[in-house]
Amino acid sequence: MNRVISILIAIVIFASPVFADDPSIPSQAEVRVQLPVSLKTAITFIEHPEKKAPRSIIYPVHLMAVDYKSELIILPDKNIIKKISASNRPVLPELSEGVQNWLSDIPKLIKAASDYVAKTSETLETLDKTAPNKESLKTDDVKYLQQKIVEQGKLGREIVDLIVELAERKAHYLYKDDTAAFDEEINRITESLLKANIDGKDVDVILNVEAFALFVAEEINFAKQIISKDVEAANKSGIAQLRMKAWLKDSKNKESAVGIKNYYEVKSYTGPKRPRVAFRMTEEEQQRVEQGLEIANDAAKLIEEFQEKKEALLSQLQKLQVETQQKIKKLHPAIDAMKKYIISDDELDTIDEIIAAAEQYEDATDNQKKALKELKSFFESFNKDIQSIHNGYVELIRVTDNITPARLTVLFSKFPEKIQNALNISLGYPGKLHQNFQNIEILFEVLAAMTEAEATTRLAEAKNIIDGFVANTKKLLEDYLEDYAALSNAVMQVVFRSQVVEMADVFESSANDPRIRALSIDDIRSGFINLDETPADHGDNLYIDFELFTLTENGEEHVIDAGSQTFEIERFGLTDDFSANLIFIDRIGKGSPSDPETNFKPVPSASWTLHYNIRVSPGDSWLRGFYRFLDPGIGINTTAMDFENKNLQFGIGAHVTLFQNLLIFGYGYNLQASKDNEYYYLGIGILETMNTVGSLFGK
Amino acid sequence: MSLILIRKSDSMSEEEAQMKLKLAVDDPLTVLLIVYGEGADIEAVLEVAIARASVKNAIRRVVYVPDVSVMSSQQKKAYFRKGKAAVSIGLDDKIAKTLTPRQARIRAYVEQAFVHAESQGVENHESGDIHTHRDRDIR
Repeated sequence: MNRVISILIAIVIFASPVFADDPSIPSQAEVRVQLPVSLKTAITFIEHPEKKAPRSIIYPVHLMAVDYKSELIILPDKNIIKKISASNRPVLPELSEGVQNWLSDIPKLIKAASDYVAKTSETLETLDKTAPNKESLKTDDVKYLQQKIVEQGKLGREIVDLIVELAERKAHYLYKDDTAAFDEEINRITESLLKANIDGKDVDVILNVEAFALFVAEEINFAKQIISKDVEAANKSGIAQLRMKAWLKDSKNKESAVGIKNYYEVKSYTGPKRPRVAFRMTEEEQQRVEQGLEIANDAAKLIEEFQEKKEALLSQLQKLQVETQQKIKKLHPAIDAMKKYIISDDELDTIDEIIAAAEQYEDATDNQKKALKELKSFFESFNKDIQSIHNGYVELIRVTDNITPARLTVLFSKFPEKIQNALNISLGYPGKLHQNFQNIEILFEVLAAMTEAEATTRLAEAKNIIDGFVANTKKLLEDYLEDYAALSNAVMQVVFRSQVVEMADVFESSANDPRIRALSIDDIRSGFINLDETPADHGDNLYIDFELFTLTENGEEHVIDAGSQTFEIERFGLTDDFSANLIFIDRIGKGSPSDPETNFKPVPSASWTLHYNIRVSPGDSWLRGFYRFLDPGIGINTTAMDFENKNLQFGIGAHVTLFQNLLIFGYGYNLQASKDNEYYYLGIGILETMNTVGSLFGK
Repeated sequence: MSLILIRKSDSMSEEEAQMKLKLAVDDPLTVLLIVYGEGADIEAVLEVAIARASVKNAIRRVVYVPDVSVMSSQQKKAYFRKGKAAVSIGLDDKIAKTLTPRQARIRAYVEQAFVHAESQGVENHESGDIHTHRDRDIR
């Protein structure tokens, strides 16, 4: 016994350096600098363990493992995410360093320009003087003059390059691929510096130094504005959004959703969590599993329902689309045919005259006159109404040419005015027509009552035109108007249904989960996972997926960047577990002569073992890694044995385990033996052995 | 007058034309803008080139070569670039800048070609084309 205690104490002393605090870590900024910019590196984590100070978890510096009761804080870096979202848009490159320098010191720029002017003047004056004797110049003189030319040339080059860079930047921003406009803009911007205002003659650049400096300052400011606008526009247009979801997967690959506060609304787990050190195993673990299943089932049921609904919607939508397209196809000939039924101007004039003549008939009653007035108004607007309906047809065919849910979603939000107008006219038209057919009868009555010769002629004339009109109109307008109204209705149905399907698509693309909340990048905030409110336990893995996306004009999603992070769930610190073991006991002493030999006899035992789990990260001391590899534990166990041929005796012992309870060494005491009760034992964890062997052969 | 015409004619043989070009290049105190080709576009280029050269008559010259075949093979290798309407030659007799036909009509680029040539000391080497933002985008 003393020996065992000594060994245990030695182990504790040996292991004490292993329990040192986490070594100092580089700052997040330092780590991030080394990694390429992406959504994964834009998101960092802080673990807030139970009753301990928060700690950063930085990928890949730390082991990505969290305690099963910790709060995990997800920190998206808004600035980096904005840059990532903007990086997909064409943003002009930064101004060159030279331009940046000029911007910071305009007086310096003016001085450089003045120097250039002075040097150039001096050089040219000198050359002018030597020109007549150029041929006879000595080598040294030539070199001197060359030097002068190069000096002024270098200054001029710096300034001209700057002018060209600024002009190009502005022209490119304004005109992009329009080469002619680009060239014209370059000319326009630079002309004032290269030509004299007075006579338009070419002059040396920056003749007016102050004007030159002003030009440069204005162009630099413009360039800066472009860049800041583009980044803002890139971030605002398309409304980049961030979303994330999380789930647990246990050792049996069963998944359950895990809520992220602000991002993923999943109901909390209310069952008791297994304590770190517990003496009761079965009930809590059973409850945990049950509740985990309940949460998983809820989510699965919700998703299943939604999928079924979506499938049903899709099927209805497809059917509607086919029907609508068939109707449109059927009406195609009518579209052109409609134009034939427009009444000609001559015919309209004639009808107008006839109605006017009938209106003036003295014996016409008030009702008849009222009817004639209505008829006149009807004919006046007839052509216009037919034209509107015709335009509505044409527009309807155009917008439904390629019916997709995305296109129809746009249609839903801004249904074209032309179609709406035509629909309004056509819906009321059958009633209007019927009324005016009656008015036409009244016209004929009045004309018949007019006994003068002119009236008779008029009657015949009217009958001729109007009979034809009535015949055509009845067929065309009644039939096609009804069809048109039905068709518009069908289109509206398709649009409406597609809107619903579109929403289903959005949910589907949100990783099949309607509980996800996407935040626009201006509203990005931290996410929180309270693992204590989840079924998470040692051996599980926590998966977190992130997506940065925008919605296009058609309502379709465009994913800008995506990332994921996995965490191992551990029980850190002091923790316990139960295990079943096969141990080989060796009795100390021989007992009575009649006692059977107990020489490493195999017996079953049940153990309760305490461990102290530590975090180990890449870069930690080798001792910590070694400790984790050994994973030592101490505990007690009970054993069934038989020292004295009494069938069953019980012993209790204390032990040390290694390798996650795979190996066990201990010392025990048979409670029921009459003498030589002590024993020691070696053993293996049955389940752990099975797991280990099983893992060798894969899952 | 800052324009030098290099062309074979009744009064000038091919060899004489080549010699004339050589003398222009060899002038230790002038930089050149050599313009190639014929047509209305090239006339526009010449107009701009002469205008910019006149600003510093003492050190700038424009050389016009309508037909590049008049140049010797050595001269073509040194001073002609396919697809370019103009090249500027510095004091070290090497190409400082080349201009496309479009660029050569724009004052700012012609001026840039001249100052690049002027800044090129006798030990500098050919620095290549003028690259605009447009060209970078195209690439």
